[in-house]
Amino acid sequence: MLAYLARRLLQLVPVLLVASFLVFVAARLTPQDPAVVMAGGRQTSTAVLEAIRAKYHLDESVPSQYLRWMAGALLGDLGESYRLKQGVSAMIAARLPVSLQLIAMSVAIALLAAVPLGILAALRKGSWVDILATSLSLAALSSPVFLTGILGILLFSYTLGWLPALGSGRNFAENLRYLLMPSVALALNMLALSMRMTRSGMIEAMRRPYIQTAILKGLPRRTIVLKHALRNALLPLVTITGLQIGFLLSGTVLVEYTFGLGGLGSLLVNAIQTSDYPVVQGLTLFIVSAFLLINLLVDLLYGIIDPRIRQA
Amino acid sequence: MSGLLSLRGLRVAFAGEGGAAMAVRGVDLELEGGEGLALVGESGSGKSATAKAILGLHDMSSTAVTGSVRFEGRELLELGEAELRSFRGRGASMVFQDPGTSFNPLLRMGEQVAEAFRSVAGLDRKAAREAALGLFSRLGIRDPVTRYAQYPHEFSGGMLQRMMILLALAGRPRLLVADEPTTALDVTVQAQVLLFLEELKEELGMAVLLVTHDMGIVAETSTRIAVMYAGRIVETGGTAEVLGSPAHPYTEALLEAMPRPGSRGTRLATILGLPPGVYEADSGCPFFPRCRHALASCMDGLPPSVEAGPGRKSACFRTHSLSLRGIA
Amino acid sequence: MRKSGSGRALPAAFALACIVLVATLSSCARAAPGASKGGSLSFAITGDIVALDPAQAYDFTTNPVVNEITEGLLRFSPTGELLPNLAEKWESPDPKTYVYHLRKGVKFQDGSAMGADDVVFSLDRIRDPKTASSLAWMYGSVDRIERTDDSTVRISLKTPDAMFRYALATTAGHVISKAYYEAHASNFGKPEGGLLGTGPFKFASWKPGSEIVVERFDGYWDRDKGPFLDRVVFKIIGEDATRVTGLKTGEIDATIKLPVDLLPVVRSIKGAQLVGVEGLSDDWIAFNTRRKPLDDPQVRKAIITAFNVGAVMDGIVKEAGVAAGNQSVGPALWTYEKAAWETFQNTVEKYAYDPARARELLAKSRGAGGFKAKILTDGDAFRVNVAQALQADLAKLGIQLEIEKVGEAELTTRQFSGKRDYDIVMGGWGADFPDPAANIQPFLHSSGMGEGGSDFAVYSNPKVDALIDQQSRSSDDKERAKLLISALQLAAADAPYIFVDHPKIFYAASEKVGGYTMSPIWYWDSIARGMYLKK
Repeated sequence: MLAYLARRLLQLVPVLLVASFLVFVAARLTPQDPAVVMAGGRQTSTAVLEAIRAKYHLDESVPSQYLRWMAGALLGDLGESYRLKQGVSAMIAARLPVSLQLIAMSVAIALLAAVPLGILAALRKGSWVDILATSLSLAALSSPVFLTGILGILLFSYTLGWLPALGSGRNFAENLRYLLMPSVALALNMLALSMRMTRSGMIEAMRRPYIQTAILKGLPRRTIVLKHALRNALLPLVTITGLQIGFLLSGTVLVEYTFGLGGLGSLLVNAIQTSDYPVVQGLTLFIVSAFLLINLLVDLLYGIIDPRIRQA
Repeated sequence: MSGLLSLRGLRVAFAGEGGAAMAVRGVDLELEGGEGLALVGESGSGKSATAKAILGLHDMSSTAVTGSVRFEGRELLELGEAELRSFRGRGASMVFQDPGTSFNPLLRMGEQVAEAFRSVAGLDRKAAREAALGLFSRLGIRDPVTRYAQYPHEFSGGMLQRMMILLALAGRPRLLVADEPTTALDVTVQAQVLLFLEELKEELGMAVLLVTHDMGIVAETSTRIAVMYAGRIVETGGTAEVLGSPAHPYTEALLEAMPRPGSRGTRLATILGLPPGVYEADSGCPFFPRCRHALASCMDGLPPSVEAGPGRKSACFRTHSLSLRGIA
Repeated sequence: MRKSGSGRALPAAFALACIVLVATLSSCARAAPGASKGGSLSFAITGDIVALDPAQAYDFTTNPVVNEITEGLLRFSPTGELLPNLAEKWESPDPKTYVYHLRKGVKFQDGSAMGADDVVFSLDRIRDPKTASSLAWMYGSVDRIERTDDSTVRISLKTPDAMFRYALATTAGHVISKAYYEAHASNFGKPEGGLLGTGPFKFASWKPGSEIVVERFDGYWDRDKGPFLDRVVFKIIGEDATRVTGLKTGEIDATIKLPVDLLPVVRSIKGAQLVGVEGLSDDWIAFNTRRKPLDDPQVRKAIITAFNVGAVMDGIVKEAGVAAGNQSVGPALWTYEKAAWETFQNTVEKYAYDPARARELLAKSRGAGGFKAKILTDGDAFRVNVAQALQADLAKLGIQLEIEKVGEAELTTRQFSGKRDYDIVMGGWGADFPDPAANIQPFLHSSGMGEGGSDFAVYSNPKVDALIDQQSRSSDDKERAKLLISALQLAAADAPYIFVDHPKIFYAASEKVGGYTMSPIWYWDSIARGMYLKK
């Protein structure tokens, strides 16, 4: 098991190297000039711009800049933002809690809704319940987050005054209120896929011979569905959820803009728009690593759920 | 009727693309308590559908089961979901063909066994666990506690099937329906499982309905045999008599097609032609196209089931005029 | 208002003096009746601050925050005059020398005293290349900064510089605590290190990407003007619509700089206050005067004459700006010699809209018969609309104008790149100081043609250069106005730019906010100092 983990972690390295190099180069291919952008649209002189370029090593060749950055990154120093006088690692760390909580809440809400719906649709396959559940989740999938977000704000913040319209709280508990609407907006989009995965997984599982066995044991329907069938239906759902979480790492940007949240998504988009290379590079490296780790966790989870895989 | 199980005019029709697929077209069968009856036929003869109908395992939203299935006097086809649930495992139980897929691959073996004891035998958690461990020991499993926590894929096919059988008997049912219980097993293991089944039958005094296509195994386990063809019973009788001198041409052909010791090197006999499809309507004797003893008159309506001897029936127009060859 | 200690233990005379003092102070400018002292105010800014450091405070999001914590030797009045602040008086004995006399008894927010050492340290720090402050240019002509005694600072310039005097009212003139900086050298200005100043509010917390919180400093030296609020929370909200939503739901109490299309929404909020003032900025269009046929002034004049600015004002700018009359110096910038500027504005050639005349001009120019050109702009809705209006007007002249839209950062890059790879470019420019020269020199002086320069039209006129240089060495505002006006007259004859309008800046607040008057120079001053919450 440990050897397996070690091997998987080692496999991350070449992927990270390639990804980081690609991002490094891509960032420098844009037509923006970071030195000028840093000077912020005010008059400067060539001397000042040259000084900025020298300070941030923008005058060196791309491979040389890359190696310099890589060396720092390996020691945990992702450099300093061009635009804001803050360390990239610190910027990521400051926004991480909000992003993490947003992702966690979205996934939880999505699954809490999708799994029961999927089970219901599978058990009543072809009936109006099935059709209704499928239609609802497709409608949810088609609603853009900023639309559902704004509608939510209109109803729950402005009209009813139950939930805050923007910003985030000071800690996890406060954030449960602040991030509720954004999480629901995101969850609606994830709902459809998770529900259909659960549904097809359940339909498959219920067809299996061991379900016949369970019936013959005289087990109540609830036990058969939840204890026997659902467990088997979960495997594809786990994979999909892992992918969705990976996407959400930066995919929350629209929700962040709508609700005025300081998360990783808006950080990345802002950094790209303003040629803030260190932030773009550092954050991309972080997101790629996180994504790979999530996939690793999904695989491990697979092994936990399915003992046959564990021993392979 | 002192009979344990009595099927009368059982029909099973599946909703299919070509209309209604008639898998079982009127089956009459009697089974006494403690008796071993083999239900024999090719694939598609409707024997599995018959077996499942007894346990009420068909999906009622797409299947029509009509006729009468009486168990200890009760009409099973009229039972509601809850009554059926308490019937299964206690009145009658069933074992399937592939033990490998009959267990849930994601749950531990011990739990799957204990679960049965909790459900049909009404034991509490602790007692059920004890009973399950006892079952493991009975099967000769060394170190039952460790194995209790293992998963189905860590057990051999033969072991799983025997476990399946014991599990099916957790509620001490009066009838066990075994649908091709040895087909998926190695030949050597087959014998073990059959013997095991026989032992338990004796021990519990229960009836066993053995559904199979393999004529070779019926002799050891069943005192009576019913041959099914195209959704109907074509012959019933004592196993020895039927095998020795079959009354129905289909039975004769089946016996001929069996590989025998000493037949090595010779061509296997086959029954030319195919059985009628499930969508085809009845018209004349269903075996007519393949029967070597057929006459034109055999096409005049369905042959009725007539007495072919003491305790023997056969559905052939020419029952009394034929003398068919069996195996000794 | 806290009463001063007037206990029985004090001599009667002193007690009487105190009572009189309190009464006087109480009747001075203070919170209006019905106000409640205390409370927390949420102010929305559109992005994260660069740092908690006046040396890095040179934008519209960092400045509002830093301005509450630190302050400069001088302050701007709403009409652009220099007022005393941490320096209670100053003088310039000769054009190359400035002497500032510091107010006594001013304390930093940790209780330590502010002195000349702190001032010298703070100002020198801005000049130090290692600080990499983009405000350093304001001290470009400075030779030496030194303390002459505990409460006097003397600044010597290399050459006379008419604009230098303003620097000390901007964040370049803010005073930080030398001791505090040295104690926090590694994380000064960052969330953990913070900022220590003499301003009305002290730094409390900064959650990057989310909010910055400042709390009332009860030991503030100018107490009769405020502060009254307990706390100000600067909320970072990138999306304009979300800011306005915040105003609607009450989660935001005030904000500045709203786009014109959201103004009706703000007005629909019950009790909301909306104030717009003419800013010190320009929306401008620059011709690249080195490119054919735009190098011919007649072509440029033809284009300006063909451009229906009035229609643009009515249809696109509407209430968001004030007509510029094709000049970069608007009334808000007439901070001295107002009459002279007014006369100039009324008489200068504006190339007013006249399609027939435009055609005449073009026919006699090197662009006769029409030509193709590209106008470079970003995706900003306002700019795109104006570009489209110009495109339509020029089409009638036979000039095919293609609109090249790029991202904001790319536009900035190409505006300041020495390559000047554009035919025509659009942008916005805001004056750093309330002085007309601030909107003249950057556009017209040839030193700005190269990389990093703001002479977007690549305009080079030695006579204009000379006039601008001359006024920058003068200390007589009357003389300077004359020189600047002459320069503008010469430039107007060459028509290198179109100045579309002077944008207005809007301040929006909920009905319970009082005590703030919006001014064009809002970004150099504390906003929350006098604010209070009405019941």
